[in-house]
Amino acid sequence: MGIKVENLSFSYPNRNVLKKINFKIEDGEFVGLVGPTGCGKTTLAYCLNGLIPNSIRGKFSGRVLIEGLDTKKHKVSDIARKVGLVFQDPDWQIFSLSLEDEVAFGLRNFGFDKIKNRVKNALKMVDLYKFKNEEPHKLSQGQKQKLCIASVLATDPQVIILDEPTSQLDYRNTKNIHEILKKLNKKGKTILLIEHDTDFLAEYASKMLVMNGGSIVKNGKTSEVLSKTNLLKRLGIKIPRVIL
Amino acid sequence: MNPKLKLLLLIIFSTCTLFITDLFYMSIIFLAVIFGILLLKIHSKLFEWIKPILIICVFIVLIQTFTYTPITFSIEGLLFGITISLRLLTLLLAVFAFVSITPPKELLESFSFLPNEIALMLMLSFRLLPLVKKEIVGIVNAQKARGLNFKTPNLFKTYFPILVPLFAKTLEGSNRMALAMESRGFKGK
Repeated sequence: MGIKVENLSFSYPNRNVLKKINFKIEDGEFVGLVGPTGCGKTTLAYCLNGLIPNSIRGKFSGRVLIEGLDTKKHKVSDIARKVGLVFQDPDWQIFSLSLEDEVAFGLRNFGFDKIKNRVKNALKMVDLYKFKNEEPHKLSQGQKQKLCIASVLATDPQVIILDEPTSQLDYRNTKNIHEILKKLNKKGKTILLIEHDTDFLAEYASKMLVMNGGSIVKNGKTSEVLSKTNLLKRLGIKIPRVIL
Repeated sequence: MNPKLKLLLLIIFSTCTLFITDLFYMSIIFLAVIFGILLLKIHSKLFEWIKPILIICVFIVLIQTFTYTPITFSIEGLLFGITISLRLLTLLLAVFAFVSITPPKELLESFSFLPNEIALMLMLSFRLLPLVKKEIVGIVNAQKARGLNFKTPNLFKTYFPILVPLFAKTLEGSNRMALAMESRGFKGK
């Protein structure tokens, strides 16, 4: 079923952010979302997991269907079972006093069983199981971001949206997170990655969306989108090495 | 020791301290707490922690000394001021000892008898402390790099450029944390 966005527009009380957005993502696709800063990528991510229009005030029109659920007609908690969202800054997402508790938070909210087992699997997937009893704020920035990913993985959503998860990380940690995303996609998860690293997207994303000024200005196969070098240059998006 | 038992002992101790009015007994209890802190070897950050409270204590003693019998120096006032100050210090030192020997996780376990929402609120407060501290350090360094002088007598001019971004960042961050919790199924009930 995947993600279907039809004529989506959204404006905060003082500014228009998204304008008539249309696109479709099939299950199991790996999609990259690029665009200049402030073009509405994060707002679009909030629309895809129901935070908009359910929790964030503003004028919403159009329709967003996630795995068949209309975000306007369902609560965030219902949509969150289908879509996991990893935010940009891990510091302001983590609040528990141990890694185990942090990962178990979503599982408890959704009423999952075998919580311990699921926590163990999720932490093992991001290679943090050995720190399970540690306090999260003692972790490095890369490990914190991996913990945020584990927290989302534990609830096993079909769609995973990541909002610039590597923006604060060094090369090694970035690679590490990319490896995890590749593995997840191979397992059939739908990935929507908001990212500035077009080199990674060129290699792994099957499809790309380019945003500018609140609209999707290009939508298509990765190779096709990345070949539009003039458009990328104009928007200040890095042209990947494979194209240069 | 069970964290709940520790909290119970702290409450009993604090309540008893509030009822002691005699300077001699107050001094004994105060010295006992200091001795306990030294014994637990948790005194390394004690002075830094207690410095602002000592200033308050000096004010309390001065005010009591000169207002016990209006506008004249009185020994009774001085002794009363010392007793109140010792009581305040004893209470705060007991809390200091409790917090120092109880890891944050255990500290929260000691509040587990509270309703879920309040326990979560306390947990979030504990979580926010290191984050806010990190933000303060970042903002202070950024403003120093832009030439902010901390030695000017105008406190408003000194702290305004720190407090404004701090409030903005903390509010924005808290909002983001709430969204992150909600997107992981938290319903607030």
